Amino acid sequence: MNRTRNGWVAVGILLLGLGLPLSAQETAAELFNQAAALISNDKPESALGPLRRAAAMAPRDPVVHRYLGYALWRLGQWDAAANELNTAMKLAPGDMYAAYFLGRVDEDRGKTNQAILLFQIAASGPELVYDSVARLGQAYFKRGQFQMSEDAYRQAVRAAPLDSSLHYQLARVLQKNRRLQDADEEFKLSKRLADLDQQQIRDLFVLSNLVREKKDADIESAVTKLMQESTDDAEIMARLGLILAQGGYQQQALAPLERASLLKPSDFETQFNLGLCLSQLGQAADAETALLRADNLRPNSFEVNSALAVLYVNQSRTADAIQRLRRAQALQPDDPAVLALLGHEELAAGRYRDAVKVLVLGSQKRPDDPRILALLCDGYHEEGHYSEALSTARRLMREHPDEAIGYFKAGREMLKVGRNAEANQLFEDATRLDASFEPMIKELQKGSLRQTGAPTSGVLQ
Amino acid sequence: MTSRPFRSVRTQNVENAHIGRHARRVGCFTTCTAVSCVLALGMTAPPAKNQDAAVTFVDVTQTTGVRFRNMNSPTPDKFLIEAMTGGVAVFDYDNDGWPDIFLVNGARLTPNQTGADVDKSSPEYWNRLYHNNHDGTFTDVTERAGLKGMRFDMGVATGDYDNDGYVDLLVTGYGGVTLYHNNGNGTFTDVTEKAGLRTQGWTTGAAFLDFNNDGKLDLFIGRYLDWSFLNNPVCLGNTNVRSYCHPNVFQPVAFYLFRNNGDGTFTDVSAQSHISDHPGKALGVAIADFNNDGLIDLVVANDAYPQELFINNGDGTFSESALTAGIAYNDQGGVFSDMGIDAADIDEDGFPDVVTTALSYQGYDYFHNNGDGTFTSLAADSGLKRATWMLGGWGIRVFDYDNDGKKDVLVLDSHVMDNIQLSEPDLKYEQPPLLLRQLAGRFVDVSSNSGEVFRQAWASRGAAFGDLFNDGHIDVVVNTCGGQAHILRNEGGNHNSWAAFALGVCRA
Repeated sequence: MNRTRNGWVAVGILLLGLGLPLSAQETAAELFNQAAALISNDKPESALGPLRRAAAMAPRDPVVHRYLGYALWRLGQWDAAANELNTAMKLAPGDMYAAYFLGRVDEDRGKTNQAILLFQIAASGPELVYDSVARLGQAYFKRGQFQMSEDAYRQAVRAAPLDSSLHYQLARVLQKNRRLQDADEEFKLSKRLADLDQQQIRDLFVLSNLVREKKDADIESAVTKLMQESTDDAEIMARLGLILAQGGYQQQALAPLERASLLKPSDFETQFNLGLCLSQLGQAADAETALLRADNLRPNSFEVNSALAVLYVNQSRTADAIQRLRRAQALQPDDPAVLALLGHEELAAGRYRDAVKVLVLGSQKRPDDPRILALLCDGYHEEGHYSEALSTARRLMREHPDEAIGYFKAGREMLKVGRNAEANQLFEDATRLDASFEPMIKELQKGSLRQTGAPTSGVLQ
Repeated sequence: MTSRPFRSVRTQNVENAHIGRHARRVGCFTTCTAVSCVLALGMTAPPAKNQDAAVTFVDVTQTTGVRFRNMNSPTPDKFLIEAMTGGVAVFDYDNDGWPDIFLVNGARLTPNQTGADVDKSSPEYWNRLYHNNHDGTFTDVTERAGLKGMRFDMGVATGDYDNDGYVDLLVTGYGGVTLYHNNGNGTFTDVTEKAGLRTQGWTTGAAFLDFNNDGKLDLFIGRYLDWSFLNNPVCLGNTNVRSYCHPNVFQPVAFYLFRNNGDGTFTDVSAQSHISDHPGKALGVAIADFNNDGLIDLVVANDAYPQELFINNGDGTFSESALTAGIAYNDQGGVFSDMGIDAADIDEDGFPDVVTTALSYQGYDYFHNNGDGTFTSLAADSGLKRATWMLGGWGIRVFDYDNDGKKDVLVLDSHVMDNIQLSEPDLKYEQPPLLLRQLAGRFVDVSSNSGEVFRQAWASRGAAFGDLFNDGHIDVVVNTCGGQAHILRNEGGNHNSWAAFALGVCRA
């Protein structure tokens, strides 16, 4: 093993469409290809000459400037690298790779604010550019924006759950967010992952790719191999179960998660993931048992309380659900999903005032969520505050003009106060946008439907 | 208060210890009648100041009479120890007020060697003690002092473990450590066995420290990894040429902590202190009271392995807390090749910070102590990462080289692999030293204005710092792997004021 660093190597970029005269294009292309090969072989200094000549021949080619910027960055010539990468971005504003590497340069130069803007660009595409989300998390961390940092790291961890360094960074930001128990768990997980056998890590990595690509036959053989070879390794079993469950293979995830639970019953993450998996498979009783074990291991977990709440909501155990949702809200007061679900359950329990209180907060935290406004409208309606209900419905129409629910709720309030013509017009608008509202409108018009029905059930998803 | 395998350690407070920046011993201590007293001697402000004048370092090795070449005995087998020696110490062994120099050497290795025994009998392989003649020259007194050594050695730590007023010497190396008692007459005696220092394996960074505050210096000894002549696999670089193996090829090993019994012996408390519960791949160690609780803590520089922070619990045990303190990894959560470390309160907020070296493309790190048990990397913000991106660092020191009251950094650099250019032509094995001046909280690379020595490329390893010429400017001694040692004289230049204190504790 050679003692070298595996650097970032930008590969797979085709030199196409340079817009050069044919002869010059050939020459620039040859130089570029030569340089790209050198960079692939971790020889950025040797690549500088060909890249500079290619840039002179094709000054408007963003890819050449990007490669040149990359090579200069690797060689520690960061100001020159920034110039080239800026040129690349000017020539191709949507070049996320140039944005990423310019972000790296600015990060290394201590220019955190600029780095954030660039990593945001790099992370905005359908496919992540390298570790741009984690870099974003680090940049937010440096700027003291710890909640945004946590969100970014969580996203990064979801994409690469076996990366011990991401768990370490997530732990550090949880520490800053004063969630010390969660931080401690992440620190421990980071260490466990770092200590895992590298071959097993590779096997799990292969499996996670198979899961992403939904290659069912290969998944089965990979799972069988890991189950046989690592059946006594609680960490591998837990990771295996997590990868499968996250990929939608809950049924296959059960065996490794149950095995992990048996091997290490005191592991919070295992119990939680087992509970979640069972819950998704509809095995409510077993799911509750596992989640309550997790709850015992870590009584103040937002995730456990949320998961139990969803379990209870699905079982129509409204009082239990409200209890868990209130605990979850106490742990993370501003979480919009919890606020919405709690509002929904308070409505279902007939505690309209409590529901309105929670939903007002939810609408402030997530003004772009039509479901929360719809629930709030219902809350005002049930309380008999029709003008507030109408005003909320109008806000819903205004902010989400393509959503039928706003027109439906506004029509309902008009109907309530006897403005039938206006109500009918709104109902027409609602059905035009979404025909599925028609039966409910007919029921309403008959005056027989309670207002907290089907249109708001989406909040449970 | 720091130590690493390749440079000296300043001793902790005991009788006759040197304390503080610009420490200088002048003559003998005054007799005291109190239980304890402190003697201060000062020298200040010579000629007129010139703040704009550059402070420069000059390589004065040739005129000092120090002719030392480190013999690392490179073989085709690429024995890993060849790449890691050697250390150096600057300390006043004869209490004449002038710092002397101790340089660590390798030994003769033979290709296909399998046994641990090495041949150090030939003078070219000896460790060397140079006596300071007070006139800018040094005399080799190794033989008389009895410090030739017996192993393929790595590092050195200094401290007066028996509180007799003379600084003793601990030499680390492959096969264990050697403790030399300073007899006070210019000679040393190997007291390793008598002192109960039974160690094995590849010992590297070490530090004398008083972890239980009993006034007696205890001893931390780091070890590198489980390499041996028999466990020396063939590792090929990208070009299929045999190279030194990456540390990942080997298992980490446990460290030692010895408690000083006060009678010239030590007790191995590695297990009961929980130090040995946390193996690592140590190349250096820095000691400081990181949480300001009055107890000395340790931070270990591990090579391609998480750093370790041992917080002193005050009951004879330590808690390893690098992970939660945010100092185990770099700010991206990755391990780095830490081959040198120092601790000092860089920003003067009352809490010691930590600087570490690394390999090329990693950047050295500056872990700022937040004062709440955690650290934050300021590598990028401070400019350290930018200045060190292409370098590999060994000896590193935070000190005020220009007497402006701000702490600066000097690093001795080199890649680990002597054939690195075969696989990575962009990198160099021999690299120049780096001088970083602290300006408004950032480190500015002032190497190009600070003397020709910063344009010389060496395979540097250890470095020791001290005012060799008693002129108020801190000088540097550099040991190189397989090359000549260098003495870098700090010429001053800005004529900033300085003061020297000789501190001691005298018993009534």
